[in-house]
Amino acid sequence: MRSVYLIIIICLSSLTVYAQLTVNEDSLSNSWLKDTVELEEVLITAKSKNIDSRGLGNMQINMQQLKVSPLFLGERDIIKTLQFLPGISGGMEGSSQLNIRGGTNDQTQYLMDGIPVYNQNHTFGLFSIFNSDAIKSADVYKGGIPAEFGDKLSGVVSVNLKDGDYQKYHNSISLGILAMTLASEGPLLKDRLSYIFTGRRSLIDLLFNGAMNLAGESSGGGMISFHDLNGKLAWKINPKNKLFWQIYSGLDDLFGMNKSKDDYLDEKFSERYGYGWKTFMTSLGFQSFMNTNMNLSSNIYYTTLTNFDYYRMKQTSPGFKIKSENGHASQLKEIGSKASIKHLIGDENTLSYGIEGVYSAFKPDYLYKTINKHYHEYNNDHLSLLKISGHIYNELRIKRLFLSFGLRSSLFNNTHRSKFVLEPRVKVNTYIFEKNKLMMAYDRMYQPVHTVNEMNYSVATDFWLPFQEDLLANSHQLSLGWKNYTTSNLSFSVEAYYKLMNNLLLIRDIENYIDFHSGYEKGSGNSMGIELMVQYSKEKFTAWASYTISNSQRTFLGKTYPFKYDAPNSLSGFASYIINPNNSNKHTLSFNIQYQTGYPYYVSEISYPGMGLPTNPSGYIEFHNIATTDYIPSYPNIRLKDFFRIDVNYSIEKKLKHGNLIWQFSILNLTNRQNPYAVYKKDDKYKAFILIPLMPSVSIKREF
Amino acid sequence: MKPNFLFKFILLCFVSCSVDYEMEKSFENEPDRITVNSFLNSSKPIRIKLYRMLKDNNAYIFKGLTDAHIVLKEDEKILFDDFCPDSILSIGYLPHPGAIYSIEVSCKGMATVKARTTVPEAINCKPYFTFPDEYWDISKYLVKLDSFSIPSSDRVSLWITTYKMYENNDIIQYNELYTNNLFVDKTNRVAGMDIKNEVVGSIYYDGFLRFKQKNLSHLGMLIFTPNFVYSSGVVMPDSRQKSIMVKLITASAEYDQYNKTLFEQKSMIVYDNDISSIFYQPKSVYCNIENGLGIFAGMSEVDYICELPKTDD
Repeated sequence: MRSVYLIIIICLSSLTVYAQLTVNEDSLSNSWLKDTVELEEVLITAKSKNIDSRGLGNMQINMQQLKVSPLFLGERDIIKTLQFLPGISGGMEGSSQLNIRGGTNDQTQYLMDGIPVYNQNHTFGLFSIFNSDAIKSADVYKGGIPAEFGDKLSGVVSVNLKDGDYQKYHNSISLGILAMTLASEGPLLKDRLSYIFTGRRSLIDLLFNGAMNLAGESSGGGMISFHDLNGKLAWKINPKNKLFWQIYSGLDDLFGMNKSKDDYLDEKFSERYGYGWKTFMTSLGFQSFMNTNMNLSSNIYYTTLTNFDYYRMKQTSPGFKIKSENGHASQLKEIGSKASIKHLIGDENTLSYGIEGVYSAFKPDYLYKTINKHYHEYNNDHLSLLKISGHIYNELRIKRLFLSFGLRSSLFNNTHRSKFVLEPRVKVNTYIFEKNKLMMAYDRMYQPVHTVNEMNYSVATDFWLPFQEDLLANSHQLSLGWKNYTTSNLSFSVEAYYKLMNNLLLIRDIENYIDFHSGYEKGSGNSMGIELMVQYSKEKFTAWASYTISNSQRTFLGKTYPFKYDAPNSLSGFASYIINPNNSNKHTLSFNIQYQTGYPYYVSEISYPGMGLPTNPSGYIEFHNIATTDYIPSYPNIRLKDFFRIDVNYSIEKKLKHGNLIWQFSILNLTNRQNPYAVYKKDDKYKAFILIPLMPSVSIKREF
Repeated sequence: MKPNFLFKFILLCFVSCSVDYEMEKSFENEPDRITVNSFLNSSKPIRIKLYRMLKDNNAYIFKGLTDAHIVLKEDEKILFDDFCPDSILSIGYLPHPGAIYSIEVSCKGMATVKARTTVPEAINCKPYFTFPDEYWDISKYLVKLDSFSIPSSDRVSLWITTYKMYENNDIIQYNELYTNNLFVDKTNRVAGMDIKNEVVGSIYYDGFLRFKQKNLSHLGMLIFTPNFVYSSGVVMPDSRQKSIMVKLITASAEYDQYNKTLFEQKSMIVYDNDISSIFYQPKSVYCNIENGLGIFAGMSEVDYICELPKTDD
């Protein structure tokens, strides 16, 4: 992909020279230096922005931003940081969703080094699966989406993982409220083969269950447990060719257990139950600089998501042993391969083209039973999706005009029917008076898979299904933008967009949708907005602020209503100041601030006489008002109160004899504002649940 | 499984809370409408309750609907076609298993409402009851059901409830049914803290066991232990209890969806102002009354009774 960099050369004589450099990733270019000016001495200042607005609808977050962003439950989280960007909504507070420009979370493509991952949540979304120690940067595409990306309506989040260091070994250990992380990287063969490994594990379940064991309790109650592992090997075969192998494995398990023992009869009984999800991904990639003007990038990958709900039992007595497991699960397995070539035809013309083949197998909701290793499945309906895509993308420069034309074509086959689609992508940029850039883009996208959760605000687990019948969702988006580079410290941008979405699905009853393919409606959506962003950076101070005015709607059964995460006004800001720039003991203070209009919500205003339930428990779980039914309208009927939150972070980075020690202290919701997470009726009064009141957090990291 | 154990984890991290909330003005202005409520049970005479919704200042109230014109049909044959002076229509007529029923209710000033349902053929089974030698040890009571006869023609589900029956004809429903059967729907599943017995484990279901249609065909033998719990703890069987009754409810699609969604809505109710609210979700209850509110659903039920052993006292 072509990138445009602004090089600022500041001479000792106070003469500042600006030069625009267009380069391709991982390639060398010195054409801009052809007309050299001989100077005795120059100072080149490289400005690395924490948030880099790279073009229309495209932003990049660097790890430096994460180091000073407030912690969430002691964790640095790239998704939480992305939620502050204009045009992106995080859904309900505390979630790890990215709803881009009026789209749902399942309309956002999550890529890890270019490989799709289908669940980005740990612990019900309280934070994401992306381990900050493994990340180099993250790109978000909200519009102007290059033709190499597809399959999701609203946008792409591409998390780029680090290669291990080819020269030196680096290790770190960090401890937060919730989890511990170990990371290690270094050369296996100096300058040739490097590795990076990061592992994260929850601590709270270990502490809790350890305490239960010490107390001699036979019931482990229940606890949340999660872990994730990232690994990458990078091998420079020769200066032109590079091979990568990458693996990710993550598990969330919310479990409980019980044990009983009869010493007299020598009998033991134990059980464990729980639910969660498992994400696994591995890929093999190859990158080759075929010649100075052409490079090849290819990979083959395997990615899976399994949601599970299990009950395990083990019983032993003299001469008898039984081990069994019952469970419900849903599963997605995907294998794919892609190859793309970037061809620098001339200094002003780049051509990219590639092909991709993907096969996905789905088991949406099945039961399984294992008795002493004999395994049997029930209701294991097999669905599949075969996808073959090709893309071509041409970037041209004609004087001050940058033109990008792309076309992505895909063939989707869900075993019952095939759909061939064309997705044109157009992007035009031009400069006016040197410091003003005007941008325009058009994107057409198709989405052949969707999750089964449309109605819910809070989601435990997502599972995926391929499109059925003719319900292949598609979107058209037109975006316009202007960016100003008046000074090197300050930049200002405005983007406007209009997006139309067709063939959307509203699932009102998941069980009926899966079992009988009913209980759903077909509809459409539209979204429009203006996003303003200003960034300032000078010496020790960095700040940015964004404001979005938008309107997102859905139309089902002829009724148009606001999208569940529609926030007409949204304001975000970030400021960071290095209090003590001393290299051996650096102190940084930073703030986040966010305000947005409350989301549309469903609240019962009517309680009508019901028929009761075929149960009338008179024990400790009694239902209130069993004889009445609350009428929840089919469409949102109120807006929640406006959201406002200020978070603060203080980081101390201390250089030690061997490595660094980093302390990070954060407080979320400094003003203790009562932002409603859920609103419900109880005893004829309305109540709001506040998920995040004033919430302190701490993390310590030792690098060596 | 209800994730009650997550509360402990989150409570350790921070203290969330619930507060009183002043509601914003609603976008919607709900029209007056008719409510129809009826379960058509093949073993009970037809009884249909009618209400009307009225707006009183800013609140919605319900009153019995009288003088409504009702048309009730069985397999397109008219059973009743007249004005009903009362808000309850009672007909001394038993719905036929396998028949389709439709209703239309109209009243001046409100939209006419319509609904349709099927009364399913009843599911039967063979029941067995196992008591321990120490009959007082109710934690080892086992109810076994097998040889289920599933009607092939209808889209039906099975609901099972269990009751304590007393000499004075009092009936109390068991509120916990322990089982580790794979095919029971997990809607009302609760993770218990103690193992009830080694056959059923510690997982129990609130008040009923539900088997959706897709799982019914796999259902061979079902074993469960009924348990009744007051808030203070387990109640020992007293001498007045004479038997256990197991009720098999064969549910039409309408009955099944209504009760499933109603349970989900009711179980969302927040009992304490604590972290449990994190799982609150606005949940609609299924309604098959076109232009109105309520439910018109068919069902059939079969009861099995097991006599308890006689006690010495």
